[in-house]
Amino acid sequence: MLRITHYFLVPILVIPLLTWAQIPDTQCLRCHSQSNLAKTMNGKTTSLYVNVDSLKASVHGEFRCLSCHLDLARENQYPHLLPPKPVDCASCHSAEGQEMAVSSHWHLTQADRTDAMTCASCHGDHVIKPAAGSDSPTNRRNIGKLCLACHADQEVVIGSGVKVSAYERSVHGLEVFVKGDTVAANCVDCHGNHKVLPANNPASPVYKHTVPQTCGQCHKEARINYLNSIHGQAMTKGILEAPVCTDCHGEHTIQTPDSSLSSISPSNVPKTCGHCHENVILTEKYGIASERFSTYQSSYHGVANQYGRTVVANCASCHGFHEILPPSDPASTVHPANLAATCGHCHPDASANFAKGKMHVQATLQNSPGVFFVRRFYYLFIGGLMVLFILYMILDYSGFIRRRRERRSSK
Amino acid sequence: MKPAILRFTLTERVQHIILLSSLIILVLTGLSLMFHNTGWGRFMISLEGGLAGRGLIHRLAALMLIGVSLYHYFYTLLSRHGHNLLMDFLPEKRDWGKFVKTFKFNLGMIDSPPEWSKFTFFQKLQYFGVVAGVIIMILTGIVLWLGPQAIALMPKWLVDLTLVVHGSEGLLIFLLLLFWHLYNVHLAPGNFPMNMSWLTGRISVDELRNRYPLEYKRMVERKELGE
Repeated sequence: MLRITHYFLVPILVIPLLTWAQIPDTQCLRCHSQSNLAKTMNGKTTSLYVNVDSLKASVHGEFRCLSCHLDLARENQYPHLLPPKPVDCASCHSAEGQEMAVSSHWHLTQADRTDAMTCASCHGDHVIKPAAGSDSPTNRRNIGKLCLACHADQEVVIGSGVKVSAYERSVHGLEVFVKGDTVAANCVDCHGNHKVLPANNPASPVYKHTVPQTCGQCHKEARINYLNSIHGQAMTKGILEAPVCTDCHGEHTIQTPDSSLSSISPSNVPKTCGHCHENVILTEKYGIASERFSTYQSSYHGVANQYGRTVVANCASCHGFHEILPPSDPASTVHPANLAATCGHCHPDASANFAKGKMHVQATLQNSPGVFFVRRFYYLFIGGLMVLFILYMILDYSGFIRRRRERRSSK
Repeated sequence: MKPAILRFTLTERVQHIILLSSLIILVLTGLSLMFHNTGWGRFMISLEGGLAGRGLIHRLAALMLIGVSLYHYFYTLLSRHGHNLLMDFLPEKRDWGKFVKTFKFNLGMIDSPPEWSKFTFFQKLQYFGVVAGVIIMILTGIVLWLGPQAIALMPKWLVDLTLVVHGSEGLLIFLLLLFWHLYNVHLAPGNFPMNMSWLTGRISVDELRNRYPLEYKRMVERKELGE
């Protein structure tokens, strides 16, 4: 409601107030319509030319020069005695102005940079086009390129080292840039627009625990399933190591699961899960089984997967993905009671026998005494035999050599 | 030079060649799977036509092994030669004494080596070792060949165990053949570079007298040596 009243208030109250006994635009354009008009400050040349036709066609076309350049209202000497002040867009766009004022764009660039981020950096200055228009830099189709104009450069993203430019080749970026799809997520859908904050700020939409909500704006079902999963439960409890969407899918690098570049493709998913589930620090801290990656890799499925067979079961085939639950949960696809059905997806003759044994474990005395003892027996047996063989060979040769020496000396 | 005498018949030599060919293929394709995560394992699997090719070759060689094993079983059961061969391989009580004597002789504690009949005690142990090993490998191999169907028939832990036994027993047979058998027929004193009897089937009378004196005496008694 506030917004709508603003739009009425601006023309009704503000414009007549400003135009009261003031310099007409023609006065300004006497100089500023010259296309070669420029100033040089600190060795940097800035054009001072204003394209009146474009300005008239822009969203602010009805405005007069002094509507924005408030400080020049009483100016009567040209060139200006003092450099005109930067235009304060927030005098009208107060909500956006407040958001911008707390954003990283404002803070980081005001502090130590000459090319400070202002409203104009994204929206343009005299020629501002409404975001709905396809020729606007802030249109959904163009905003990716707008952000990447700065963020493709690693130096701009100070200290983060995040490869933002990978967005262009991500599933979201390809939808936008190649297919021209305007629904696919662009920069501001995840990061916000005026109030861009770093990911470690809890108020940021890309803060770790806010990520599921942010992605869930579009991926609603995935978000609900995730929140019910053991990962979602842990995240909700405030466990920072619990994975959110981006831990498995990546951020700017997100690909569809069938892409070989994807971190969740059949051949990459074991490694992705393994980041945590192979990790002894995490698995010991939370009392969950470790070495899930290496034991999977040496299983039938794992070996075939490593050799490029994508039809074999990977982690997600049995455990699910967004809705993952621990095997102790009766609703889990890998709960012993559900194993026959889960294995049955691929093995139609799967019986209860499939649950009678351990899946990808490092055999220990406790969990697999049979395998443990047989393996130990063979190690000792083979090792013992080898030692006996070598002793036999030494004895065989030493006897042979001794007898030959005796024969020669007796001759 | 006295004429050489027949130690292994043609069919025995052919059986041996089929056995060793199948075992070499089985060992190569088996170990490359066992060590699939090493560089040479990956290299071997690529040579064997990838994972599918490796499996096919391994199974074809397994059929070869099963075939020659069945043939050998009936050979020892039904043919006179085969029966005699099996009888010659059976360990005797006195073999234990000779076994100890072998070490005493090599240590210089006694002056004359033990007198063996057609096969030494070591050769007999090796024969039955291979028989036991091949039976274990064929039985576990059939279970693994069934794949997931095997788990439909028996608990998964038993199939897991079968896999461990198959791999470990295979490794054992490989090391046994490499360290023991190849040592004995190639490197052992008097055999270098190779004891040729596996190809010719023959052994000279001198060698027979020196190595297997009881067999020599038996042949002399039966006048099988001619003149």
